[in-house]
Amino acid sequence: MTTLATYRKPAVPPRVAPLLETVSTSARSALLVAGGYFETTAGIGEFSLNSLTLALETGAAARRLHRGNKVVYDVIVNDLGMSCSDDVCTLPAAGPATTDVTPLTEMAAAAGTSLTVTRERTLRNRAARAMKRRLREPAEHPLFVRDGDEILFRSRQYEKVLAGVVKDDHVVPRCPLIVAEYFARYFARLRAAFPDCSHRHVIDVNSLADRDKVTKGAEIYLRTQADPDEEIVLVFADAACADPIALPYTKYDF
Amino acid sequence: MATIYLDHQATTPPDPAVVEAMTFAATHCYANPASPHAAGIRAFREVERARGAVARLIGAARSEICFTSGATEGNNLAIKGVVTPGERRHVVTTAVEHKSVLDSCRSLRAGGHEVTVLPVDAEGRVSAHQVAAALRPDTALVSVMLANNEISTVQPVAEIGAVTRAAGVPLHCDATQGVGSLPVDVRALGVDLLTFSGHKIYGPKGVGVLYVSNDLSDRAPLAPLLHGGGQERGLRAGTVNTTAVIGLGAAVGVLAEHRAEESVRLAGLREQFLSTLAELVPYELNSGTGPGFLPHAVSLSFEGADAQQLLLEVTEIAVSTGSACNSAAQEPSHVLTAAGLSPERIRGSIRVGLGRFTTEEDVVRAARALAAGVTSRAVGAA
Repeated sequence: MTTLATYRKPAVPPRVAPLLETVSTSARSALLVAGGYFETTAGIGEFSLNSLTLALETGAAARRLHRGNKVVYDVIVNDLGMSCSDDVCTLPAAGPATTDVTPLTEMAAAAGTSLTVTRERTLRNRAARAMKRRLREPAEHPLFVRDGDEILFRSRQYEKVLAGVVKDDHVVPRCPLIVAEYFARYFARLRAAFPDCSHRHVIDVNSLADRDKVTKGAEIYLRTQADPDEEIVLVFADAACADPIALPYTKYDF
Repeated sequence: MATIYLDHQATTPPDPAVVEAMTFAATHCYANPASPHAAGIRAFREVERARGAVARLIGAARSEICFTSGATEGNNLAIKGVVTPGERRHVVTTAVEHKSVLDSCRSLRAGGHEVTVLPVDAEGRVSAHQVAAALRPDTALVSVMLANNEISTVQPVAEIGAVTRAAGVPLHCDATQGVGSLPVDVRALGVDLLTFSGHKIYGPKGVGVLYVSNDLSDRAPLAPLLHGGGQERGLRAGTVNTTAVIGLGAAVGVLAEHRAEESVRLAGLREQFLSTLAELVPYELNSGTGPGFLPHAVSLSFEGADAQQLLLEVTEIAVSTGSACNSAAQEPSHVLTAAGLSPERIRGSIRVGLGRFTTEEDVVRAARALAAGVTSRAVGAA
């Protein structure tokens, strides 16, 4: 791929080098690489398979950067049946309630590793509960503001970020909040599993179409919960995942 | 023989690394960085890399960097953006600021706001004490430059920042002249707004930076001058000038790597220029050359000379009589006037600015050419 940067790690395959540009070669890092995303209504498709391949390749290369590096993998499954644009979420025709993830777990096994699966329904429920607590204590959480039925996040990147809506006294999280929730879970997992690693990275492989919602979610997590040594690398790719684009973020970017 | 370019306060030649980066950008990053497709995201990534480089240079966060068309736009946006909303307010600035600051303040005054223009001492410097004395309960902004473009005076911005912080008044700093030679850390300076342009640091023309602290944005967001697509956090609508921004990022990278030793080298060259000149023709310094002044520049006067005429005749070198932005006005320099120089001395003044590609041979040749020009005019006049 073409980029201005000169990569300092020639041993890393060119496709994944940009994804690992900020990973230290002199200190231990813990990485969670998320790929393989799919919606249950559509099933496991080309992007899911290719993005998991990219994730596994990235993780393997990360291990070679430092012998003490720890790498785990996760697949996000959208079982909410929603597809999102900037401000609205729509419900498509119902698909199967559950999806067999065997093709993905087999890929991981073939690469000599394993993966976990995170379901968005779980994330949504956790995000709703957390937001309800925040709304009860607005002074403690000034970055979220209630504007009528809308819950807005005071972004430093976007003019408006809709974090959720309140319906009949229930909080309904929107995509950025769900994304922030999975970052929160991912980093909590890395902190608990690898307390000796001085740096933590989540490398999140996304479809090009999800750029705004994951970028907003990354900002929400980094500004509300992140530790200084945590980094999110947002990766955007088409279905083939041949030429992924990496955008690293830390809390200092905001 | 090629002209010796010694007008680096007016503009600088682009560094080869900048040209290379811009060539890459123009051919590979032409997509709109706001577009959702891969080419757009790729362009966005390069813009964000440049933003990160700028942020690191001045100790800011990436979200605090707004790209503009240059320091003039940045100064207008900083000053009018803070003051325009709400009721009549008061602004403090100094008599030696760049015209884009003074004229922005003038336009505020025309709009009913009050402006205090602080005088400077003989070195062109304002004190933190003066700023403190000028503050009022309705003061909305203080604007003080980092270093002067004509007489190189470095202002005590950090001391002024301590005063404005204590008073809760935002401080704007036009760092256009200083950022290429002096270490700049927005937190250490205590500024809320800071501007500079690409072409003064060997980057492209038509691009600049406005730093807006997140503290200020959270408290009282600036009112934009341009409305449209919401780019740059809604502060500056319009498609980002990707090629120029990427060139600026490259310029900042080179600057960060070499600024300290380059400043020492240029101070040495300036000394050599002045000592060579002193052997050939008498002159008076209008600016200092020690600590508290930029290392690469000097303003000086030749007694009885008409500097504008002199520079027309000394064709081997490119220098200016005053601010290049203002030279078309045919008015005596407002900076030299504010520093208390006589009209005669201002008439005979030139400013010399050395740069990254200036050599020892250049400064010796330039001194000889200038001296020859002064001497021949003096002989002709006699």
